[in-house]
Amino acid sequence: MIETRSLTKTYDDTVALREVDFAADDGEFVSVVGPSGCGKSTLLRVLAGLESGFDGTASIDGTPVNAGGSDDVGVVFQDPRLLPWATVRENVRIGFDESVTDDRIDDLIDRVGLDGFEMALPEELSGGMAQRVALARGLAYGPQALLLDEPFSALDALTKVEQQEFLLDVRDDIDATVVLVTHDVEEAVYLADRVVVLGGQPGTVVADVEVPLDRPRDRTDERLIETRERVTDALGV
Amino acid sequence: MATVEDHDGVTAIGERLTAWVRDRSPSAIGFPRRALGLVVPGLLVVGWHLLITQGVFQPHQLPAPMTVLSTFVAMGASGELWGHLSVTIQRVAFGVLFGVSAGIVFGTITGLFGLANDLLDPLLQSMKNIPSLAWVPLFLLWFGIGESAKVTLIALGAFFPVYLNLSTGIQGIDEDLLEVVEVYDVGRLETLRRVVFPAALPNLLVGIRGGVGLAWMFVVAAELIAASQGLGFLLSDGRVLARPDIIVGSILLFASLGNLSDIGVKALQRRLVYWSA
Ligand SMILES: Nc1ncnc2c1ncn2[C@@H]1O[C@H](COP(=O)(O)OP(=O)(O)OP(=O)(O)O)[C@@H](O)[C@H]1O
Ligand SMILES: [Mg+2]
Repeated sequence: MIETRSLTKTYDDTVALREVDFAADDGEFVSVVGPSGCGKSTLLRVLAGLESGFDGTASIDGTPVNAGGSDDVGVVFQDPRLLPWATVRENVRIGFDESVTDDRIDDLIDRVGLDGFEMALPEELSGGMAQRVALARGLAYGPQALLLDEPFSALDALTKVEQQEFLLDVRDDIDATVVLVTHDVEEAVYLADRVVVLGGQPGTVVADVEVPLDRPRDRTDERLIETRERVTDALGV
Repeated sequence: MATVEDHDGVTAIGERLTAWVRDRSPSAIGFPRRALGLVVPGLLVVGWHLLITQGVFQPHQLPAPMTVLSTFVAMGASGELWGHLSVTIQRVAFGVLFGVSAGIVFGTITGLFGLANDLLDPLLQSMKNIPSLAWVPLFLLWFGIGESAKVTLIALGAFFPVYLNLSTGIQGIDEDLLEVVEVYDVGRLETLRRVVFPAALPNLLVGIRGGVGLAWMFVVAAELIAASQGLGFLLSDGRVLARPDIIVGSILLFASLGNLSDIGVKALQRRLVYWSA
């Protein structure tokens, strides 16, 4: 279980988050949407244990994240953050234990649609390809909690759908709790059990919308479209 | 109207300039660009030759290029030259080896540990400003006129650029990448091996290039003052014997050795820093 209680995070003189109560149950898939600059990445960074100073509490499975974060959290950052000197395979290896075989890594690379690019360097990849390497690295771990910051933002529509399905598969395999930040309301609703809408500056929770559908889902389902409208309304678009 | 035209004119010139600055392709003549670097030196040698034959310079001040060449060919044939050359190269090699190693050790320690940096950096920063010649008497006093004084002096020269570049390189490592290894619980040693050292490698090589360059400067300082062999000794011997051909030839040899070593380090740099630029 991932939880924050009256989380307030201040950078110098900007208040990024104010009094945010956020929770994701074990195995739950929660999407977080909100306008640019409302503190979505900040929320993930706090949960990942990358921010030391904040008010309120943030915990994963009851353990406060302040102390370097939980060992069982996989993070995909908003930017790919690949090691420029390492091949795609070596970059993905970072997400695994030392002892992993090349075959297992290459499987995962294949799953994100980058078969044949195992030995490529990051500079030879497009933005969307680099993003998928980062996704593979984040999922490699098989962690109990996955924190994903706009992992599909640079992908074309078709690749995006493929990678979304891949994410759902991986989640089923490892039964992880997922927090996905996205700008794409359709994606947020299609993937998640619940959509948390952040708003304003400083960011606060403005709505919490259940997605009343089992998986697998049909992307054109009426109820998805309805939910989407509720999220869009909450966003004030 | 006029102002608009002027403005366009300026833009056009600006565009041509940027295109010209960006153009790094081999020139249109189809000459390999490396060979072009030899054109001006070649012309200088021709000019030098003409200045002597026209009597502008007296041969006892500046010898003709051919005189320099024949002197050194003769010294090569008698074997004398190789003795001097190999001694100098050996000194530089050992000096670079020790200096670069020490630079790597200190650069790594100060780069990784803030306390070490606070303790050592101010001292090392001020030591780097001591001119090479100023060390010579002290080292002679400490080590005598043997090899160790010279090698230590050269090592000192090679040390500072390596130390400075590596230390700042490690300190300046991209925080974003460190967050990645933090999140994926990469161990400390693994983090050094996979992230910190590769990230600092470009800086290290810039440092080594500078260090090798300084090693050549310091070897001259060492050999001019206290040596019975070596290129620097040859240089000062040329003055004692009033042989400008030996002086000029030694200077040219220093230039080519410095160049060769720089080309070597540059090749190494391209090889090791295979990513980006
Ligand atoms: N390191 C930082 N230093 C200072 N201010 C920061 C820092 N990181 C974020 N902020 C501020 O915190 C606020 C929230 O930033 P955050 O990156 O969380 O937004 P976001 O919701 O992820 O936006 P986007 O959708 O554009 O990615 C912004 O006002 C930003 O300027
Ligand atoms: Mg963000």
